[in-house]
Amino acid sequence: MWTGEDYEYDAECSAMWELALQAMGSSTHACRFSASFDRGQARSHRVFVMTAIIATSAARLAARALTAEEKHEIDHEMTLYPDKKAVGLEALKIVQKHQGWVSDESLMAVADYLGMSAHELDGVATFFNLIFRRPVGKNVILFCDSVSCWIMGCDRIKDHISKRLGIDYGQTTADGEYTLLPVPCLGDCDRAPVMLMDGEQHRNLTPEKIDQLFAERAQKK
Amino acid sequence: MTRAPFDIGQYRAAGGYASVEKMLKTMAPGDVLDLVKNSGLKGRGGAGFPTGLKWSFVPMGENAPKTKYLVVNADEMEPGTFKDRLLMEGDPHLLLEGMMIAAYTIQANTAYIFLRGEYLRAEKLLKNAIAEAHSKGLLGRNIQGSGFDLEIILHTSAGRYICGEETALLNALEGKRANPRAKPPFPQVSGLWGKPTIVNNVETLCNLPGIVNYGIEWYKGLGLGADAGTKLCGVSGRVKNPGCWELPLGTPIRELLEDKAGGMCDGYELRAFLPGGGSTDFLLPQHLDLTLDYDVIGKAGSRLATGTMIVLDDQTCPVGMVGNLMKFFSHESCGWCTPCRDGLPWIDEIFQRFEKGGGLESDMQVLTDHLEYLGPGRTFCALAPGAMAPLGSALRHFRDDFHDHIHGGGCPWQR
Ligand SMILES: Cc1cc2nc3c(=O)[nH]c(=O)nc-3n(C[C@H](O)[C@H](O)[C@H](O)COP(=O)(O)O)c2cc1C
Ligand code: SF4
Ligand code: FES
Repeated sequence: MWTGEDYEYDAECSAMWELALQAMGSSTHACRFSASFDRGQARSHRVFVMTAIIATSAARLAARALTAEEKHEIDHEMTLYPDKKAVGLEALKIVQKHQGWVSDESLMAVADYLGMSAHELDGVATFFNLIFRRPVGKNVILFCDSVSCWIMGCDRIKDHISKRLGIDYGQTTADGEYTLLPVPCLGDCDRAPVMLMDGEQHRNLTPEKIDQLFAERAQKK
Repeated sequence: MTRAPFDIGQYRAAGGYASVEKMLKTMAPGDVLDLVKNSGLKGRGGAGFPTGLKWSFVPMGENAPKTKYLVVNADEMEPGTFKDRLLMEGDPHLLLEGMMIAAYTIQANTAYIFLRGEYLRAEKLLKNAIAEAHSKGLLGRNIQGSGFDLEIILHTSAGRYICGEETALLNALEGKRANPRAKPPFPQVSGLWGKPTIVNNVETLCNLPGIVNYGIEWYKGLGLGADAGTKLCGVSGRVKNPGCWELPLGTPIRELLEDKAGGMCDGYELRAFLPGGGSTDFLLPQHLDLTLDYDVIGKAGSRLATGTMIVLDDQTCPVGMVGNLMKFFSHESCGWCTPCRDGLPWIDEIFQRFEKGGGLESDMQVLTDHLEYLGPGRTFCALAPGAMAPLGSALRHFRDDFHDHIHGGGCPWQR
């Protein structure tokens, strides 16, 4: 459901948005460009909006060149599927691994490389919770907000993290270190509450454990 | 799961891959099909569909398409479900062994594992296990001189519950948005890239080596009731010893909850439970003596489904719990069909009002109406009917709690 909430969006997106609106012949449309990690029903809207954005800004935005490493990894994926298009998601994940997120320029580069249209590929990108179409922090915290963790008090832990880092779901700390995102059940429900950070699952979370985790990380740096 | 999984040497020393050797030497694909059919194995992915029957729809013989696929559904994301991850992290070779049996039976030369993107440890272990199996000649061309070829490819997804629905999964594997497909045609006839395909759950496949090694009587004998074999059963929530155990099907629920999971935490009482993940109907303490059998739980009005039980205690708000599930289903709706795309966010919004205050008596009718609008047969796939299971049963069992939220200005359980 599109709620019409205000989202912060950067100047570039805003400019593209204006262009897109003009292209659609409408300036009254209530939808906004949102982050792809808001996993709401905004998706279908987003695709529609992004399609218009891509269509109108193609002249302005050029696809960047994929790096040799990215190409090499994508080429390997292509050997595993009978159809080039099938590696769309893998290619996006590869780019995200190297760049941290999937910018419009990256998206277009991948689309070119796979012989797909940018909006077809963006339809895939926006479908998946873990493809980031906006910049994210160096560490993405995937915090389980599903039922078993909820029963075991995950809301309290989430509030603790939010307070400690000064960010809510979908936000990144000012120093670019952390992004906090909700994630469905991480399959560790017997050790709830649970979160995934740095490729590692952290279980039986308590406020003390959270403090300890972040203190250890701060020390390592 | 604390010990490191067996590497291929340890696994083979413990009898691993014996079923594959036996099968390739002494059994034709049709023999394996008959064996699995007669074993009574039912799918462990949620629906409990007989595995042999599912396989029997795949065209075989001279005129069958040359390209066929086996796909493993390892997209585990059902709230409260933690069993496939344990299998893949604890014994990755067991899954590969099971896959070889399934692929051989339908004569598929390519098998994809569709793994949930967040399961990073399973990804690493499976990648390694596949490489090990390759190096020992258990994968690749002409496996052990049998003339059978098989490649196993690991695909990692990027987080979307609907990818677990088998036809949506096929679209995702093809690189498309993961909306489900219309059935028929069924995947067994026209699946991945239009080729005959079977999709099986991780745990289902892990049952196969035992069946091939020890036979039908042994497998049936494992079950205590009508259903054959064992099942991974989990308990989460406020119990003393939450966890996951392999139990014979037909084990009383009470044994799982009280003996294995140690009963409720001190100071907490059992109020209700979801027997098999977030898409099942609530059962009550009076159901504890039922057995973990597909039909028994079905007759009680719920489903065994994933076999991982979520416990609601007497100090947790049932309305909040269902609200949490509704938010999940609403987020994860793929948006393809109207009742689900628009209905679930509406339900979610109602639960948010219940929580904060602002619930209306008329909301109860809206919720009841949705049970029908999003019920079986009204939506394009089973996600929405699955969401209605906890909702419908909660409306029946927890009426007073809903009433308190509506007339008490919000959730009485200030957490
Ligand atoms: C919304 C939805 C999500 C599902 N998620 C999964 C899943 O994560 N894993 C799984 O094995 N089956 C899942 N299923 C069931 C599959 O569609 C399918 O029935 C199952 O993979 C078949 O395997 P089996 O016969 O071995 O049980 C899901 C079904 C629906 C409708
Ligand atoms: S029921 Fe929901 S998840 Fe299934 S096809 Fe319809 S919108 Fe998609
Ligand atoms: S509900 Fe949080 S890990 Fe399963």
